[in-house]
Amino acid sequence: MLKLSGLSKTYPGNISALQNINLEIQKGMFGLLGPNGAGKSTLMRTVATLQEPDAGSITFDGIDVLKEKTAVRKMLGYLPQEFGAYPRTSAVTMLKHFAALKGIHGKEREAVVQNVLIKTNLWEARYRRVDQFSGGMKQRYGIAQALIGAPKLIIVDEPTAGLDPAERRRFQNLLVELGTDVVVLLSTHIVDDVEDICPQIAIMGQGKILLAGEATTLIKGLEGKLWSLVTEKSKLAELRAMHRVTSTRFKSGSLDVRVLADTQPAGMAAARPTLEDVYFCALIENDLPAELE
Amino acid sequence: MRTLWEILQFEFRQQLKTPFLWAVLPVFFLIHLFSITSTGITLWAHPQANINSAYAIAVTETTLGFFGMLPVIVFVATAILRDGDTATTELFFVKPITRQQYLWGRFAAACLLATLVGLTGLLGSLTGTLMPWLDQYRIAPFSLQPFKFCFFAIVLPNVLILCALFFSVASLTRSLAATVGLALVLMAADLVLANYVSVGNSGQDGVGALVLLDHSATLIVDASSRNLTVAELNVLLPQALLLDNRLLWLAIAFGVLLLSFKRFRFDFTQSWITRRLQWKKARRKRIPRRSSPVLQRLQRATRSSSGTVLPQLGSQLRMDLRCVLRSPLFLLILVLGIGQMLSEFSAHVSPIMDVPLYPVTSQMLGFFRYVMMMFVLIIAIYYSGVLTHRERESGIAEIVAASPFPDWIVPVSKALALCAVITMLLLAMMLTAITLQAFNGYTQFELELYLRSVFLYNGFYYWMLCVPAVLIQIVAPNKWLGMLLLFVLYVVLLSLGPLGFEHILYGFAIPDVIYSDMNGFGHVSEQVHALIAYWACFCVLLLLLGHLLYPRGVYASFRERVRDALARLTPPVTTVMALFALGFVAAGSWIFYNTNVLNAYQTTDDLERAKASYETKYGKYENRPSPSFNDIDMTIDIFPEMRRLESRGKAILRNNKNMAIDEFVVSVNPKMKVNLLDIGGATLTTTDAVQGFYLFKLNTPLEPGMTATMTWDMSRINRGFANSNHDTEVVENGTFVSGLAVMPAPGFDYTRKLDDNAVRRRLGLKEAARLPALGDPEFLDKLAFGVDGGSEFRVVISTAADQTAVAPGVLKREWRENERRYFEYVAERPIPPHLAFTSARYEITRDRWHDVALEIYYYPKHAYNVEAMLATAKRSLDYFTREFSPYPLSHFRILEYPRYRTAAQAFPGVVPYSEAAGFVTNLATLQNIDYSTIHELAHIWWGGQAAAARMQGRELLNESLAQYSTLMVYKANADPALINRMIGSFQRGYLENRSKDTLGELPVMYTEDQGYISYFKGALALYALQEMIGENTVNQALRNYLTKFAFKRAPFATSRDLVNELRSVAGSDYQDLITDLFEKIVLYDVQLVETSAVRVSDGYEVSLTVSAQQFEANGKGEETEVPLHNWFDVALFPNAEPAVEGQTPLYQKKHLLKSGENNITVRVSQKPAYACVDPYHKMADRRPENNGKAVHAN
Repeated sequence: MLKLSGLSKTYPGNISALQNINLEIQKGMFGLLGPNGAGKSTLMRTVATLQEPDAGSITFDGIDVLKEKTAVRKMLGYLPQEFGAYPRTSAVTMLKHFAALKGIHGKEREAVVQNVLIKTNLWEARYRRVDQFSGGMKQRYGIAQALIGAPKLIIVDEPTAGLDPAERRRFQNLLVELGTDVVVLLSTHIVDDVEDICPQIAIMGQGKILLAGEATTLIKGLEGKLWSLVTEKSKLAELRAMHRVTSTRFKSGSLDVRVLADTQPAGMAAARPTLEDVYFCALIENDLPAELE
Repeated sequence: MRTLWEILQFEFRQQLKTPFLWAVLPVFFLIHLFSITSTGITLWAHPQANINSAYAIAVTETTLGFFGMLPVIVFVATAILRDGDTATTELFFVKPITRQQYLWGRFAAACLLATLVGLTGLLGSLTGTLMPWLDQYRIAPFSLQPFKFCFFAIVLPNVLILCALFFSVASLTRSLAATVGLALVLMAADLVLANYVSVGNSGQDGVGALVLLDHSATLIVDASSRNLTVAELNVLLPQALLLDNRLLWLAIAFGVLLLSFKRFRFDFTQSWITRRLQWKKARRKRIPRRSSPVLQRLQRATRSSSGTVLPQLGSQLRMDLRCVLRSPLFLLILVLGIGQMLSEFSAHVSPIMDVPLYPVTSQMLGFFRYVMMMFVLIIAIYYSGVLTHRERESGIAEIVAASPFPDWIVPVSKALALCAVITMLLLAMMLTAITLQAFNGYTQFELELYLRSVFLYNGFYYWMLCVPAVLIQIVAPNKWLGMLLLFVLYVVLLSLGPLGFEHILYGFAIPDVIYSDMNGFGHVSEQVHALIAYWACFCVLLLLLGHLLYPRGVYASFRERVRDALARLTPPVTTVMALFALGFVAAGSWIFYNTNVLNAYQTTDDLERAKASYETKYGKYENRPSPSFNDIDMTIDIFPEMRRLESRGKAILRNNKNMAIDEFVVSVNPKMKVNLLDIGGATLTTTDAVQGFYLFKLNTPLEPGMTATMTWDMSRINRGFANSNHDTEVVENGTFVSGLAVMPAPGFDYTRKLDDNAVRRRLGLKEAARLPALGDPEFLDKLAFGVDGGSEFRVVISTAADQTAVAPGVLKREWRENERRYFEYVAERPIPPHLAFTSARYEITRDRWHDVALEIYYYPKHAYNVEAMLATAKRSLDYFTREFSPYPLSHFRILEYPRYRTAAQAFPGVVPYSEAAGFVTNLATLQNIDYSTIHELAHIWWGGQAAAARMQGRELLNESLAQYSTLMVYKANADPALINRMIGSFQRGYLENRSKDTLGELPVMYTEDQGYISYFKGALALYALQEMIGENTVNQALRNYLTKFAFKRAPFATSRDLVNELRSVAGSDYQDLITDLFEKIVLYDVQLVETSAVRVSDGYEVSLTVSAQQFEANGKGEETEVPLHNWFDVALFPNAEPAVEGQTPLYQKKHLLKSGENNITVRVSQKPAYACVDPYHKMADRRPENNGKAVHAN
């Protein structure tokens, strides 16, 4: 289990990236949602032993992550948001190097690298240069290196940005296959990713955890509070003045508006909440901008 | 147009924001400033030219322009490669801009930036010339003209040329490595060109054109100023060939640029060059057969914590080495390194007559320092940046950082990879050297010697330089800034010595160790080993610092980085640090003990001050009368293993003056420790042991003809090792000391006075005293310090049991005692007390010439020229005894000594001869006749039998006569082609060096020990005279001269005496010629204006129109035309190559030329293709290139 207590980080210029984060993450997939600039990457990096928080502690299976970095790194798989490879170097060479850095050598290394290449469907392309991979292949290479050494803690930061639907599906399946024995911390702003595969989620905004818990529970919590209406753009300002609008969407020319209210407002129908609604509501309730005016 | 302007000013402003630019500007300003103002750092400009003359500024600008390559690369690379690196390429290329606008805009911006840097450098130079502490004697009144000239003629064109070339390469290859490769190619080409032009090839036709190939104009400035005098250098702008060179290179550079613009593609296809390289690779890669591996269960991998560290390091190192070794740039570096070695090798010649040397390993070892340094610094600067920032730039930094390995693995791997590159380069160059040896038929490779010298004494130094490189790059936020900081660091390190900071403890260098075949690495290796241990400890500490500071992960502020660094201070780390810090201090203390306690630490400045102080305090005794050696009976004990020498003895000093002496000075070389110094019947009134100054007052004045007895006991003791200025005279094998270094001598030692007037001015001394005027009666009885006439001489010299000791005189007795060997030498007749003592494990070859014993004492492996030396000695003795006078001694000895000095010197009957000169010279080009043997043997007559009084012109009697004698022996024994080549070489030596003379040129009869006059012009004058009046006539004059002055006491011979002898044999027709040759500075300007040939019945009639002028020059180089009436060789050759050398002339005769136009008609039987006036440069023609022309026959 991964436990974060009171994590805080302020960048120079008084930019609060993390404000007193408290989370308990069990084995399995955990989704971290949030808008850009919420502090997700900072949190990911801190847990991945790459950054020091100003305050707070992190423990993983009883190990103090901040103090025993090397021990944690032995069990860690990390896929950052921006990553690459040495120029003119093949996938298998890079992966073998990462395996070596993780302390795996000799015949065992051959087997391990072979395994991750097969798992990520890169076996055929293993001798090709990474800097010539397509977007999907590159992400696969990224997750391959994170899987080396059967890590117990996998941190994946915005992994599906830029993947086509098939590749996204494949990626999700890959992560799920990792089994329930491993903590997978997945940060993204694509709600669909989280919705399909993460039983546990947390929503971050402006450095704070706005909402955390089981996805199904959170969605259920919105039932009876979410209402929708199809209208025109001219009416939008009026609606905003009267109700708490959580989201708007253009659908075949007209505007589909969703509103958060305890009781049914006039002219609106009950809407079935999705995780996306939970996300928008969380932002609205914390006075964070969910969309541009 | 507007778009272009927009692109230009946007790029310009972008780069203005970079920290690199703002760091580079002050750095270049300061570099130029310091170069101008530091007295320690002189570039190759003439030391006497005005500091702010256009010439001197041009020297600075062209030479320092080399450093300009770094900012140019950065500006250009950024301008054209940045889009690729920052993934903004697509954003640009889809905009409606044309290729021309894009490229010209970027290029112009890069040029502007580079010009800004160049201008800043020039401003630095300008500011430098205004500094008040400069030698005002060499500062002309301020004028902007030199700087304007340098800007428009040198700085601006160089900027444009470099920018264009680098921009072209960068845009064609889209690769930074290729751009750096171009820099290396240019640098290597410059060095090869400089080598070729400087050594022995200057003056040959065609070389003049080669200097046009120098893109930075450095060689042009050098070539155009070569034969000019100081006065001319101060005033003229170095213009010759400059315009041609600028136009040529601007054309080349812009031609390449336009070509690259044409080929530039505004899309994503890779540059065609890299595509070609990869296509070849892709074709070769074998696609493995499709295999279907079984998916295995991902097991938890077992990892042991300790056993995996080395393999982790191994993997990181392998990746880093791949980066370096697989790039084409590395291959280019190897190729250039090998090319440099080849170039150095071919330029390596003997200091005597520029003759090639045998490629013995000890010679080859000298090639691994000077040129390699440049390569090493560039490799370190570039690759340290590339390697250290690699992870960050590839985007894998975070992945790597999150992997479980110790922090020190990455910085150590970078340092090792960098060292590996250097090692490969050294290996390649070593193999090249060995191949060159084998190619030239020399197979004694002495591999352990190579390994020790190349990898330990040089390799360690280069590895040392890599460590701070990696550390600086670890700290720097990006690689450009890191490179700049590193560049500044190296410049500072290299400047420490010249600026007077000479102690090895802070120099961060391993001094170059000279390897002598005779003495091996010598005791200096002790110092070097201690330094290696010292700096090794320091480098480990630096690496540990790198380990602490290596950025792992993301830091919000510097404070976090420091926190992380402190967190890495674990007990193992602190233990290792403490251990090596201890080692560092221990080694440092040992070194300090040796350099400052056992020995005295003296900087060059200290030594100069000591000399100045000696002169100021005791100079008044210089011309006071002192007695001379009359009889010397001494003992020398040499202890080679301890590098120690004991000298004791008794000398009888006689008053040879015609006045009484009541007090006189005795001088002792300061390196000797005086245990006893006594003059019978005199009291010691002043003692200055440090300066070796002892003033004795006689109890009763010493009347003329009376004698006093001097006894002494002194030691030369060498302990441990010094910081620098090591004692290379008393060594383990190959001791060679001169008498005056190990015994006291009466008189003030004026040889210790400083000659450099700039140094004297700085230390507050007056200008150096000139030699006494010719004929000054005060000095007719003075020869040299400590040598004032003949003396009886006897020495008992002892040395180790396995060595032979040699001294002047006949060997009377030889015996063994107390496990040492003893030799007794007695001079068979009084000799000038100009003594030399040597000791080594010699091989001895003996021969005889009539009743003279010829002996050569040499290092056993240097037997190459022993037979030739003996044969040469015999031929020389044949000639000299026939033409001049009998040989006065019963023996003639040549002794080899270590290469710490590279000359040959004549002592009475004994000639020490450096191992780096004659013994390994390849005498094939000299037809197996050894030059120095003749020259030094000749001194037995000129300087030995007949001594020259210490005044102007004495070198005519010593060196010029010896050189003349040498030429005559060659004339009698070798091909005419050889002697013509020598004459040409002498003439070049004279003409090129007359402008570098600090005193101002003087006529031969008045020369004040000016080498180019004594060794070259004087000999040429005598040779020219014998061509006109005949060899026999000249030699008759020399015989008469010897009759008058050989073995005589004072008054000694003067140059006027010799010239008078020549006058009396020459006849009235040649008196003016003698005046011109010896008493004036005469130069000619001869030009073959036109020539044509017509066929006639019995051959061809050739007419030549020759324009000729004669000039007389004063010492400052100002010339006045005077009437010409002199004889010149006119020659016709069968082939049209201007290479006169190697052809036998169809016709060669002297013709009389007068001022103005001369028409000459000549008949030959064969068809001539080339005509030349004075083809062998026997006359001092300032512009010999226009003496010859192809002949067209009608």
